[in-house]
Amino acid sequence: MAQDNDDISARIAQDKATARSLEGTYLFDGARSGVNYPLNKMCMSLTSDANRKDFAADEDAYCDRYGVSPETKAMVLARDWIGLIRSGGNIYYVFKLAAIDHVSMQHVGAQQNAMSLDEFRAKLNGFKDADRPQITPETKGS
Amino acid sequence: MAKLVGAVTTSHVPSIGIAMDKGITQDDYWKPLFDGYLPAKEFVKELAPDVTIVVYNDHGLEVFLDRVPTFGIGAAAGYESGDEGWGPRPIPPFLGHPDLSWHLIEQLVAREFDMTMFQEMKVDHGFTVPMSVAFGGPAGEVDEWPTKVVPLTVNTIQFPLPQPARCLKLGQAIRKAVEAYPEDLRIMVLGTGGMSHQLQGERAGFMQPPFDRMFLDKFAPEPEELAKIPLGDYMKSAGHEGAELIMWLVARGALNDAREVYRHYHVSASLTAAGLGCYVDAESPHAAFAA
Repeated sequence: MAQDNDDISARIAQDKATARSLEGTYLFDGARSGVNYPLNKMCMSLTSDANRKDFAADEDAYCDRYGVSPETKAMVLARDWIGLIRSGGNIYYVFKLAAIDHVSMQHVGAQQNAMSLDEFRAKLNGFKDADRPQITPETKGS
Repeated sequence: MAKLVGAVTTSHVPSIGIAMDKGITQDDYWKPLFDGYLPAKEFVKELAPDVTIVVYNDHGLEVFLDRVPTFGIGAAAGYESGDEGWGPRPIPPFLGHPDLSWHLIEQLVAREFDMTMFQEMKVDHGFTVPMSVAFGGPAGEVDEWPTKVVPLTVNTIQFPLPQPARCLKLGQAIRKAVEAYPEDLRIMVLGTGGMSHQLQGERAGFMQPPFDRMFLDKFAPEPEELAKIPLGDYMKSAGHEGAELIMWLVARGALNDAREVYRHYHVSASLTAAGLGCYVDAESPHAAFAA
């Protein structure tokens, strides 16, 4: 039993250590999930037209309704995507804010990389260049 | 007796759905991806499932951080596309199969998979995009889905995520549960998410085609090898969001001696390396598809 516990603890620690060793990555674990909960909750609320209209009418007051901190509110108003992620936002909630502005995930990705959209698209295309030709049923073998 | 007739696995990027809904799938950017989906649609037509079990993760439509089910199943009579922040997709509603849903819930819980039960739920792009990839869409192209559905959710957003090995075992339990259903139904599993991609942080835009290729190569013959890869390594090799690939393992577990009958891999759909695979058991009459 003791051995089993050690194995499990080691596995959890190893997974977290690996994820945390990745530069530019913010493991969304329990601790992180609680850090800026009001931001994520505010963003989650933007899944109805009525709420989106309220938000657009007065972003500042709408943030207050969810207890978003002044520091975070400034980042919401500035659409500081990387700031929001660093401060505990999760992309799937934060992206609902981007959707209000009709901003694409590529725009959000570019800003997080401190790149122009064209530079970021070139980065994405770089993975294609490193890729092999497409595999089709004819070429994949048996 | 119900029969597990096959599995399809595919990425579920929102922009793939948007491209279909806007009718721009033949644009230069999208055509190579969508051309690769055509044989999969033919395969699904051949499988002709009565019910499709869709394994996906909710992205902040029904599930917020206040309560996060590790695994969940829908048991509703129907499911509609929900508003994730940019309005619902213009697609017909999905018909559920509550009797099969409750059968699966009873069977899975008895097999020690403690599923959360949803009697009311809307579905997001994680569900609707793969359905459109497999069956067509939007409205106009599909006026009525040719299959009923059972949504099966996996938490891939709030760590800890379920272990890859656990996902494979869930698939194996689904297989047994399906075969214990008394009615003659053809059941397909649609595994979604991945492949390599990262959306958050300065590492956003990361992809790794060699890892994805390895995953595709081992998926049918050696799923145990993929189930042994630690979650941290999935994040390292496939990106923080690419860990969604554990949902493919649920679909794989539902097959026995699986054969790949078709695959498509495309870099990229927006920030995501898009993969698709079609699989059946070796003894399936559909094993000769595309041979």
